[in-house]
Amino acid sequence: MSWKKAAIAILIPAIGIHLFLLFQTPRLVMGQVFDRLQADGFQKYHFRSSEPATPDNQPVVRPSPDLAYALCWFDLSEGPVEIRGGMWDGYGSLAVFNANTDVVFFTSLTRADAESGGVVLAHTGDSANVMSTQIRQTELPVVLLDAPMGVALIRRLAPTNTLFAAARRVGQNDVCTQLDG
Amino acid sequence: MKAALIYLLLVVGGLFLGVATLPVGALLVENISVEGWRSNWSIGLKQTNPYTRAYVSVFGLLGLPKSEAVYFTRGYDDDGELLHGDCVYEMTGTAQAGQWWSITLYDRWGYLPINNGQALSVDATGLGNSPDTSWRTVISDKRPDDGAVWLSADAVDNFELTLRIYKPSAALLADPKQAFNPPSLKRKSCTGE
Repeated sequence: MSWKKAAIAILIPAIGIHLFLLFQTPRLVMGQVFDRLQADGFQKYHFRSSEPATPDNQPVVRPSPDLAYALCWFDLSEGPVEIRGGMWDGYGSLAVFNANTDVVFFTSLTRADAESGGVVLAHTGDSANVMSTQIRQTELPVVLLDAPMGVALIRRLAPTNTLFAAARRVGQNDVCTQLDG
Repeated sequence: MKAALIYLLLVVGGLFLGVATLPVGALLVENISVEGWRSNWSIGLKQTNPYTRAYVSVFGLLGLPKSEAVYFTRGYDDDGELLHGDCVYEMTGTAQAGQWWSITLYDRWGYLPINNGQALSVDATGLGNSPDTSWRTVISDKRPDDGAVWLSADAVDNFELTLRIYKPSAALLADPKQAFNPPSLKRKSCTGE
C-alpha cells in the first residue's frame, strides 16, 4: 500500500467524522434535551415551573440557585404557538431556543422594561397563515422558525424562598398555547 | 484480505483521529480571561464559528446572551492550584459591573455538590453591590467558627466557581479586562499540610 492511499484512508474518515460531529453537536445536544423532557413527562404547550435548584434537584448542568425557571417545549409542525410570560418586578426574561440551540427570540419580563413579554412562533412553511385573526389579536411579534421544535425558557431572579414562591405564583400567568393557523 | 483489513484499520484510526481532534477546536473558541476568571461572550448568540457553537451548546446550553448575563468560571486559586474541597480558601471582592451578581460552587462536572450545608451560593443580596461594597467569604468543608460568610466545599474534591452578573454594564461588555472586578481567591490551608 502506498503512503498516499494510507493517508487518504485515514484522512477522509477523520475529516468526515470531525465535520459531522462539529456541525451536528448543537442539534444532537438539543435532541437529548427533547428526549429528556419527554422522558420526564413534560407536556408540550405547557409551562412547567422548576423546583429550586438544590443538590437533590439539578436536572441540568450548572443549575442556578438564584433563579426560578419555567420551561415549555413545542412542535410548530402542529401549528403556531403563543408564548407569553407573566411580568416580574425583579430581573425576568423569556428566551426561545430552536432545535439548533440558537436563541431565536428574547424579551424582558421585568415590569419596568415594558417589553412585549411574548411572541407568536410559527414554522416557516406556515408563513401563509401567520396573519390569521387569532394571531393578530395577540398583538405579539411573530417569529418564523425553520425547524419546528424548540423550547421557551423563562427565568425570574428569586434568590430567597419568599421570592421563589412569589415567582411561582407569577408563573401561573405564563402562556404556552397552540393557536389556529 | 490482508489489504482490506489494513484499510479497515486505517479507516477506524481515521475515525478516532477525527473525534479526538474535536477538543483541539476548543483552542479556537474565544475565551475572555481576567485574573483566573474565564468567560465566553458567545453564549446565547448565534455564532458563525462552528467550534464556538459546538462548545457553547455543550458548556453553555440555553444560556442567556451577554446583554442579559455574563458568566465567569474559575477552577484555580490565585497561586494557580486546582480548587479542592480539602482546602480552605478566602475569597474577597467588591461590587460587580451589573445590576446583580452571584457566585455558585459546582463540582468538576458542573453539578452542585451533594451536601446539606445550604451554602453553595453567595450573592449581591447578602454581600452588597454598591460602589463601596467590600466582601469576604470562606470556602471550606466546614462552617467557619468566626461567623464569616461561608461557601460549602463539603463532599467535593475538585470544584469550580461560577460568577454570574445579570444586566452587565455597557463598560463591562465593551472592555471586560478593564471593567470586571475579579474576586481574589487565596488558599489558606489544606488537610494534611
